[in-house]
Amino acid sequence: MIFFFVMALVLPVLFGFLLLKAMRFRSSWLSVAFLSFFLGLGIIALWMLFLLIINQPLTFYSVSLPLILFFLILQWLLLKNDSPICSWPSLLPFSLNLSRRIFLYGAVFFISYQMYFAFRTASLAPIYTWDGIYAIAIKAKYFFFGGNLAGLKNFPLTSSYPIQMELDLAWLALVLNHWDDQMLKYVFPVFLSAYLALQYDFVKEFASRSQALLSVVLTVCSYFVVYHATVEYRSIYFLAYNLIPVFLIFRSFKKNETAALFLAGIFSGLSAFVKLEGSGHFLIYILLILYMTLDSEKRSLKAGWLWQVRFMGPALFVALPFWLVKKAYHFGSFEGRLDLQGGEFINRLGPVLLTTLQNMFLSGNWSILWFVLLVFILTAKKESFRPPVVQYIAVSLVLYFSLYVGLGLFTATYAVLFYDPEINLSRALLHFFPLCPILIALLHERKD
Amino acid sequence: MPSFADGLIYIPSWNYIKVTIGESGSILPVYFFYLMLSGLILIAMVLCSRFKKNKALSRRDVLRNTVLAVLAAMVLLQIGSQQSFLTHRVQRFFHQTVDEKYTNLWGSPYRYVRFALVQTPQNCAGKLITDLNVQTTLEPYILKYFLYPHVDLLAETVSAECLIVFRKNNPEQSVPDNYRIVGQFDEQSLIAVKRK
Repeated sequence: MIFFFVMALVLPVLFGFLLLKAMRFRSSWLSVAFLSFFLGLGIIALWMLFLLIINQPLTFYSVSLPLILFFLILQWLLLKNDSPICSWPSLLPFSLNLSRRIFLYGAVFFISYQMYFAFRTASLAPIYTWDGIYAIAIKAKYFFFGGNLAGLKNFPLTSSYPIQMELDLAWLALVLNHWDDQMLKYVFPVFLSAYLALQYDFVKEFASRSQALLSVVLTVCSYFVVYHATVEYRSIYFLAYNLIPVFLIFRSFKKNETAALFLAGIFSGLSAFVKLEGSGHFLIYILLILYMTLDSEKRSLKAGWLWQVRFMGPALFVALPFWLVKKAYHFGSFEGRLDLQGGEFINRLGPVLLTTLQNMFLSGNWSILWFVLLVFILTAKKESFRPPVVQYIAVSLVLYFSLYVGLGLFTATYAVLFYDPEINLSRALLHFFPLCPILIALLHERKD
Repeated sequence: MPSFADGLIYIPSWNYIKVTIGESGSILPVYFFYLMLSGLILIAMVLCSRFKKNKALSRRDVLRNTVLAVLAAMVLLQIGSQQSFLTHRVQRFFHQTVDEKYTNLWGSPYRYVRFALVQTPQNCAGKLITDLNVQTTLEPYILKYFLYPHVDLLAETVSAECLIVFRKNNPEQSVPDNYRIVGQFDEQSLIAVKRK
């Protein structure tokens, strides 16, 4: 059984890897491995969506064989460009002084404990949470047992929700060849581990190894992050698809890599296929590209448009199929959550800000990380903000806050997010929370 | 919802993690924590200014390190709570089959599922009849999830082969004449299948 579970996770890595190779994306082995994983899961889900659109049954062979064949042909075509796409790791410096070594061992021990907690907790209780039973696993089970797209109307309250995660769970069950409520739980901590590896690699690329490690340590200081890796919600999965484009956009500008921008587009399209919010986050990515355009040396209107097109093209190409399915089957979208309610703006200002602050500073979700960030910002020297990566992460954080606070102030989303701080707001903040520990780590002195 | 929270300082949930002492569920401990934190920072600042002459540490460093130290202390407290949570779960679920775990988690609705799986023919189109609010309670979805695909409660069919009557007052009255009751789970829940 474990063998099939591992195979269900290795095949996406293989598909993703070959696509990255075709795109001539080059990076460290860590990034390539885990980007391949998330990309491969997206490819499989999109292929399954295509099969559902043309009314074909979802079986292990109908899903995997065409993809294997396609990627074998792709690999054959690419043989002449067989240069390595990833660099292998350099060993950690052995000349670490005592305090560095204590930090390293402590960090590794702490991260290992949190991962142990996530895997062990997930292994004890099968699928049981509200969203698991009500929206995610139930649809995955429906697809696994031969359900079709038209049948999504039987889930009236959640028919508009994107279905990438549902299809990926169905894929796992197809490889296992039966529906296993316990085995499927193991994939949630895997998502968190894969995301953390990507975060580490991103920070390491633009700062230092110790800052990268610190950012990961601080991220898993949040009980909410770790706890969500033990339950069958799409939050951690979406967190990864949401922040990978943020990392890749910066990378594409700083390393002048067009492939990274294409890839950011693909991932943002996939984020819209994972959660409704993903479509709204397009706005953030567009603004981030605009920011990077204004910040770049080749600042021109033409270059700006070109970058936006390079991003939006793949993003729309990936997101469009499910949007069209929703349109065709009248599944709706957002259920009125985006209805403008501008007149309420003044009355909502207080509750929106108070609820957000209460969640950030007085809940057990984030430990005291937001407070730590505040202290680090207030005590930062001017030059601490000079590195472009620090500015970029700070701008990203501001954009995410602005989007959610703006939605709360001006739209019907207020009732969903801010009416009760203990319901949905935590999960909205979770989608971009790792930017907070990353910024803390970046503002911390570089000591490598 | 199943509770795993007994005696924890951090009470995890998929919506919000409460920090609490005892049964109150209050956020007061967090306020106290911030008071303590402020006090610590103040003391650290004073100490820093006293030893400033021969120390390279600036107030900024002291402030940051103090906050990080408090974070570390908080995280240790959190790990303690996580470990208690895990121990509690291990005690509750270790060496159980998935069926036993679900019975442990859901109790009556899951026992009803097991009952329905025995009483109904395979792959039958079913209809759920209940007094429960299907928008705000999870039980109807528990039935839909676990009975699928043995009994399909997902499609709202008009010609159901079996009736899944759960938590319904006077359940016998919900069964039309062309159905026969094949099993009574309790006074509010039963199973009926269409007469041939």
